Amino acid sequence: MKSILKLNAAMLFLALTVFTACSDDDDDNTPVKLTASEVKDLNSESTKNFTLFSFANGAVVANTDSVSSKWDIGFRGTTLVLNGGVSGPGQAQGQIVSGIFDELKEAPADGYTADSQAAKAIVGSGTSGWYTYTGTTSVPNHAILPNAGKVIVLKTADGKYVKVEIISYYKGNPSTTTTTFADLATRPLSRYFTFRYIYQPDGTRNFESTVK
Amino acid sequence: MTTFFDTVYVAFAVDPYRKGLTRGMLALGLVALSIPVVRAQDSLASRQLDAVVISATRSERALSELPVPVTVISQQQIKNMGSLRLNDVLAEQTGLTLVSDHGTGIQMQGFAPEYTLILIDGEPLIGRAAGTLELNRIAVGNIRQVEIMKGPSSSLYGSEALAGVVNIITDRPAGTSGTITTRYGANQTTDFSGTVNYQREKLGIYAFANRYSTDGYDLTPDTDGKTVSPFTNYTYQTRVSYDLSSRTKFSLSGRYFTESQSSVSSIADGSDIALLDGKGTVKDWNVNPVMHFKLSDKWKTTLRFYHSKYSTTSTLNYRTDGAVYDDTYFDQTFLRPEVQVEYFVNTRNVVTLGVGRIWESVAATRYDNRMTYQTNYAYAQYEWQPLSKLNVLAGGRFDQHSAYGSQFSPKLSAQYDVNHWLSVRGSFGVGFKAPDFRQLYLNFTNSTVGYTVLGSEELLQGIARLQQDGQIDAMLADPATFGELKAESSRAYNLGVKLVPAKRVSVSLNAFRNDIRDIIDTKPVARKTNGQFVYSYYNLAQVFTQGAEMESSFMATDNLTLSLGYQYLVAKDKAVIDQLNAGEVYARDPETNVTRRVKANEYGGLFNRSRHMLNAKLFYNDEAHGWSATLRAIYRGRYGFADMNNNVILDDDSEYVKGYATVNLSVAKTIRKSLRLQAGCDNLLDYSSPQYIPTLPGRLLWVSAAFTLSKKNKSTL
Repeated sequence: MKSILKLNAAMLFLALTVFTACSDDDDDNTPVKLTASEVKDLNSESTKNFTLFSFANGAVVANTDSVSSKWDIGFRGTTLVLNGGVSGPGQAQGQIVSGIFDELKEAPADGYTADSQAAKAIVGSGTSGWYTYTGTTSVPNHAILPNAGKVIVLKTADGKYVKVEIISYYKGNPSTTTTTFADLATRPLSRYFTFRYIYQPDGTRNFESTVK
Repeated sequence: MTTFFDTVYVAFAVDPYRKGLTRGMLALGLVALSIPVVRAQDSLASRQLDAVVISATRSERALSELPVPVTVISQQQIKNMGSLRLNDVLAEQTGLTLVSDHGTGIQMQGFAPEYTLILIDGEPLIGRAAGTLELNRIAVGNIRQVEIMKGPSSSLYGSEALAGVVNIITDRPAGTSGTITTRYGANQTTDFSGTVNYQREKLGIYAFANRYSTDGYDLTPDTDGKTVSPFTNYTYQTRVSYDLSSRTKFSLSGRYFTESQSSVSSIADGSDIALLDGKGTVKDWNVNPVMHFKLSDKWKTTLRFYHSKYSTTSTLNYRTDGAVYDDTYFDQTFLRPEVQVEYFVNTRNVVTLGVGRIWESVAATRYDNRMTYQTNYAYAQYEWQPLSKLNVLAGGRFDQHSAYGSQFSPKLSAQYDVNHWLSVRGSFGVGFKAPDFRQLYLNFTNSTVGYTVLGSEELLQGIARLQQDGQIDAMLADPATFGELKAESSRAYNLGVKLVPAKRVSVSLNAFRNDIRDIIDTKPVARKTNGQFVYSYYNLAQVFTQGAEMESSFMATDNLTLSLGYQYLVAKDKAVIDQLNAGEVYARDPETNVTRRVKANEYGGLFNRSRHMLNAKLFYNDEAHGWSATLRAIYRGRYGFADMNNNVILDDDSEYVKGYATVNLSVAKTIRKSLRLQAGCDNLLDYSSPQYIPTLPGRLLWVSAAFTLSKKNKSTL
């Protein structure tokens, strides 16, 4: 962890950890290793507005900019929208692939869809979606647990590639195997996203390094 | 001495061709497999081998000659332990563990309770809830012995005998006597039993009555309702035997069981909590007339007729106004005539043939109509002794079923006595379990949660109906792909040795492997508009269970016996292993919640299976002074409880229940052979785990007294 930035964006509180690769005065053509950035406790408590996020800036975008290409992904509870298709004016598309975040060295060439009336590009619940709702049949009850081994790969509003792993739906990224979490009375607030991502600014599908 | 045995069987037991039987019969009832109850006159081993077993061949055979592993628990041992119900007895046996799913059943060789057939005198008990037959329904005060045969026995018994068979052999008329037993214990648990024995030359009557009641217990006092609600049950069992001639014997057995339970529970009613009063009843009865004909020294014929009915009712009413919240019933019948013929070719060859037909039916709240199905079956068995040291048992059974495909279940087993202290035995068998009524015909919608479960035969119609009613939001699978349900089947291999390494020591070892395919599972077919799912049954999983079991006993002195039992078990889903090997199973680190790949060696196998199970028991029996005592410790190693990290499989430490031990103690004193006083403590260490093991109450103390009156002052104690 090289630097920690905290910033307030609009009315939303967001703690953002950015791993920045320190490039000195090297040659411009030298590839720079890409490292993951982690967003902690992105608040999506609103049941009305989506909390919008830009991967290029690594920051929340004000809702007043919802009809622009300034944002890439929006969060509202378990619903994720991409800035494209029926959800926004941008070019964003996405898909969920099985695998491990660190092992995904390159974005798939195809398989991306945009949000449509029928379905969001990023499927919510179920084995092909990003989360499981535990209901009453398993412990912990009534919990939203991100599915392990699912990586969201998307093209941003302006067509750059990003891979995202959603880590937690609860404030403070708590362990979900504790009794504190199992008890609904002591469980941390929901609708707070912790996720990590790698954004490739150079337009290629490579997630390992970037060329300036 | 001969009056000790059912006269019906004695005639056949004294068979000129099978010396082993006679020898076994004389020892019957006075010996136990692992616990000697008579004073030592000969070595422990020889007496152990003399127990008589019925389950393995459907006829009485000396245990020593059987090539299949059978554990026999004697009446004396059950009495010394102070057991009241069948679950008490089975909980302490090597390789068995009690598991709870809509009732208390047993897990055998890693199989869930629905795969073990429970028989009373060779006839199946019916009435399973979600596959589990509640073992608490069976009182043990009238049991002569319990036989546990592991490994598939569908070759004799057909469906359900996939993991094995537990055969409860009830007492038979013997002498003239009467016994009254009373017992009182913690949780207001009371038990009264009475037996009457009457025997004249040709007529024998045995009757048993039992009343058992308990206040239950509450491991979670802060919630409404008890962990186990109060219940009372009555068991009546009788057997009448009559010798029509020296060659023709008749016996009639009957059982009637009734139980009522009352409970309190609460549900959310808007923002309030509403209290519900529950009442439940369970009834089962059966009647079993049997005719034995000894046509000649070589031919025996047995006609069996068995009819049983099981029914339950359950109602839930609001406490405030008595309005009905839920009202359900379940009603099952079973009827079976059977003919069995035994042909004793000579001393080394015995052939048994049987044929029969089963009518079964179920009517219940969750079924549209009364559902029926029939099974025709025939079986054959060949007992062969090609060498004096080699016993071979070969058999097979064909079941033709009205609702699913036919099944052929062969079994071959052999035992070779290498020398006087070592025997080797092995078997191969095929077992199956037919799809049950629920899997075929269920049509159930949960009224509170709103999900729907459809049996495979109801699926297409049920989905069409839901679609018509506009209740289907999206189809998740094509109902046609679910197809016709096949029976679950298993191939099993058992290989073991019996050892008598020293005069007072005996050891048996058995390694087993079961390959099970077409396990019936549920998966969602469609999502309903209320967000819940429609589930149905399909054949999918391939599972194996394998392990090894050791049972040993050591007679330290004439009065003191120590026994040790251990089972090692691995039970895994083959599809999960394939996924693990392909690197397709993921988990989240419980601390960071970041995804990682699950390694094959992290897979803990099927849930609810302990890798290690151990028991150690001390039995003290001083007949001269009338004292007996037992101390039994049963350890169940850690086992998987539920998936916690959202990858369906058992892999994380948080998904296990810790291993635990229960220790039970009992002491008895018999005075003048007619009065027996006994006291005991179950779960001496007071272990409990409300969250994971609600079926385990804390420490329980009890006292009991038994009084026996017998003609000629002969005690049956």
